[in-house]
Amino acid sequence: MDLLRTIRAEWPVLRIRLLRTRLGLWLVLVVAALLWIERAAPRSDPLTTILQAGTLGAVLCVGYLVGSGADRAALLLPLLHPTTPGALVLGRWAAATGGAALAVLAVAAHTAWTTGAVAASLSAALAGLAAAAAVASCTLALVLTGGNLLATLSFVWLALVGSAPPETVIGVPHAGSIRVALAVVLELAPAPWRYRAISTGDAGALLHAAAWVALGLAAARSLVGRVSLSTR
Amino acid sequence: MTIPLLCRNVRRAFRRRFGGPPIVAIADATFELAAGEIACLVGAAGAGKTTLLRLGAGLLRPDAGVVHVAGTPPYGPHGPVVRRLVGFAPRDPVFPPAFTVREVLEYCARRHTAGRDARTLARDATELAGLDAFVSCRAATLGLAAARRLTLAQCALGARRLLLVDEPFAGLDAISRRDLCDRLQRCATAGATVLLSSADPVGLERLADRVLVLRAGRLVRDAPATVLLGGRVLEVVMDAPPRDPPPGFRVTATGLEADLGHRSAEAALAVCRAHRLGIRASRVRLKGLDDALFDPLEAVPR
Repeated sequence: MDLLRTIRAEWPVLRIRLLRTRLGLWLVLVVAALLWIERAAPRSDPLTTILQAGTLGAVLCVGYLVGSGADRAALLLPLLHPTTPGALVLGRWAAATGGAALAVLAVAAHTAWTTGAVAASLSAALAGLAAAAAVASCTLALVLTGGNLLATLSFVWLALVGSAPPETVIGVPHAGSIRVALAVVLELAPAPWRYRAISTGDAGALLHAAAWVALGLAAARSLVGRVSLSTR
Repeated sequence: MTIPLLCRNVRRAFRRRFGGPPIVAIADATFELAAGEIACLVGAAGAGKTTLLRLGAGLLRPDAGVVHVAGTPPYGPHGPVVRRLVGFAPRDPVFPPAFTVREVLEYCARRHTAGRDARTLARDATELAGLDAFVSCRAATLGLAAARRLTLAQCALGARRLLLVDEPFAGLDAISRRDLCDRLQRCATAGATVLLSSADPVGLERLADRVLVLRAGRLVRDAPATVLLGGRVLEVVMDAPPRDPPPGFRVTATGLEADLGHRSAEAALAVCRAHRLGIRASRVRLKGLDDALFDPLEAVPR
């Protein structure tokens, strides 16, 4: 079996969903909204905007590529041909990350165009791609477990809280154990604040992203195998 | 020459979600299929037909026994290689939303080969299934007959040698059923072995070379269709069916029934009269495949 070929076989899924569903429109809206917020904010932070584009784009792409009940049921179809659940999951993840990469590159290109800081935009785009890859993998496992409801929760979480470091949450007065739980999730889960450091070459942040990619793909592979192959 | 499908003493059970004894879907099945053969797996709903097909397709592993496709187990590390040879058409297929018929087939074909070759494979499958008029239609919006043909197309894609087709005729009208029969026959003529399942054996007579009867997870009959269809049956209508039928007869809702074999109907009726049974009417009919399902066989514990 040619692993690369079976991974590439998933790319048309992204193309078809971008052109024939609302995925393309949603990605454009998210990019436009992030650029508008960045422009309206008192202090410009293009890195956060690029990371948000990557993570939110990844959640949207996974939701549109795997999230619906029909999509999850249709995962059986490729498995009736020469492929494995691992290759299928890898291909779907690569397609979702590719879709998010379009959003990252759009925001990074806009930043480079408006600020003229090409090198900084490039390193920020790399951080955005790593963030997109980690979030796509993690969301893939979530969506295979609970469908688009979990994708929506993940989107809201990343949009509202994901950019804040855990110290900010811990600093909020009178929040109790919820505050601690939120801080723990922010500390462990893939989030834009964590991957800011990738743009400065921090190996720890890159390893964190790589670990989430591996963990998410392993969980998704196991779920695809169980859901598609063992039902009676 | 390798056997396209070999099942020997296959057993498969499913665990219950909330405890209790497992459900035995296949208790014991032993059979093999020859190249170019069309075999029909018949049995009531829940007899284990789909499970047996899924075992053949490598989608399930047997708990015990051996399943080989062309001499290789279809599951585990050999799975992707074996799936070049074996196609499975599920009863209720779900196609990826927003995909057209052509895109579905190309999506599947890309698992077999790349680029132009994949498009050629998809085109061949389209022709085989007679889907040329539907190539630009969304797969999810197809009617039942066209959806079944698309399922067959993806199953046969890549000139596979063993086609496992689950309930291909369920819900189809006579014309669509005949059309699908012809297409399956064309696959067999080209050398593919076809194993199809059906809860309703009516109409399979013209397709099946061989009939396998599955009852409560056990293969209780395996015979050429000509053997099962060759006989005559005497139906005897009675005022009150006897509790103990005469030898060679079985009790039905309206009276008695017996396979005539080489006996004449008169000889069989004479047996009834000898037992002082009140016969209201009688008729002789040819055996159908559904008789294979109802023939008297000892009850098999599940």
